[in-house]
Amino acid sequence: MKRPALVALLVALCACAADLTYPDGGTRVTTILAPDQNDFAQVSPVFERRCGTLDCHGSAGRPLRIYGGLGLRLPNEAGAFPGSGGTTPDEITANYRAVIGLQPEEMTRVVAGEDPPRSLLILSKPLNLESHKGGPAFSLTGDDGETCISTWLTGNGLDKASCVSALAGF
Amino acid sequence: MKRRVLTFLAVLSCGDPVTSGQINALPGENPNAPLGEFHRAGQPCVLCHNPTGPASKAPFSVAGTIFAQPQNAVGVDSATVAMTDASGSSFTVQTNCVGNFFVPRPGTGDGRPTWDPEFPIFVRVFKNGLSRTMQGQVGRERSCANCHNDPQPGTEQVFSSAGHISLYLAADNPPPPSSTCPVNPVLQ
Repeated sequence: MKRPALVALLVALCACAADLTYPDGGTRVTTILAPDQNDFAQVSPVFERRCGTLDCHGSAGRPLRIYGGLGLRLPNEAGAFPGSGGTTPDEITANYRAVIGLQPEEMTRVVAGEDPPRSLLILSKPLNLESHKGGPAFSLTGDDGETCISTWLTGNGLDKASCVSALAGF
Repeated sequence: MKRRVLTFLAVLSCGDPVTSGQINALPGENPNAPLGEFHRAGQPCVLCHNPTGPASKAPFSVAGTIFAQPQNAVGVDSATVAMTDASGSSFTVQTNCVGNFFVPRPGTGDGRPTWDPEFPIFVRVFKNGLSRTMQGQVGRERSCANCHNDPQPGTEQVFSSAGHISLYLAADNPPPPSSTCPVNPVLQ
């Protein structure tokens, strides 16, 4: 490519880039429907125990990062490390943000009742309906972990008993 | 052009750059612990001992090291590591005198029992009536030391490490390490 043409291309690219900057300083908000944050305190242990071991999503280098008392700890000055003490409120909040931030638009459709809970990666992956490096983490039928998460997502009354029984043996 | 070809060949020769990087980050071989079942105690064994790794002739399903106490790294010999997988299949293996244990993959063992677990697996370690059960499950990691390691205090890694596996508590008085081991079982 000749030099004038290259310069013209660079100018054009810069112009495009300028078009992408936000006139209000870059702030953009995507409004989403999210499942109940208070109820998540009872759902979080399912993610912690079934998904958040240190070798899976309890790893700082993985998506859907899950914190927990037995797994990855949110950096703290209290001396909490994996295996010491329970999950803190800050860690539950971080887990909530990780879960609702994975597919915000798709989650909005599920919370609105337009799509089924299994359309979300947080269920399709552990159910192995979608390729999952960790393989199946939930049984395809009758897994209390799925019931707990599904009832939380749809907002039709969290099945608290399932959230507790989903932890049995884990 | 020549340079590009050389770079391409170099990349090819290194294999998986992630695994290569992890292996290169490990402490090197200890000259007093030659290659064999006593080497690299406390390191993530299956990084190399897997079907595509540099120790592919001896691939492991699961492997690790059992140490005595949290505050030191002294290998425990003849401890039993009992594992149960998601399908209910169980397997037990004993540690050698530096605390290392390993489970050969089916079809590749040297006559030892083999096992191919379906993850997650649940682990218990015991010796002489003393038993320690892992609080969580192993999701998919085959090298215990990938999570059970000893990061430098004050670093971010302390929030993601469960510390090395120890059979005894800090206040216990464990039996002395093996005195007949061909390799010193005291790492620190």
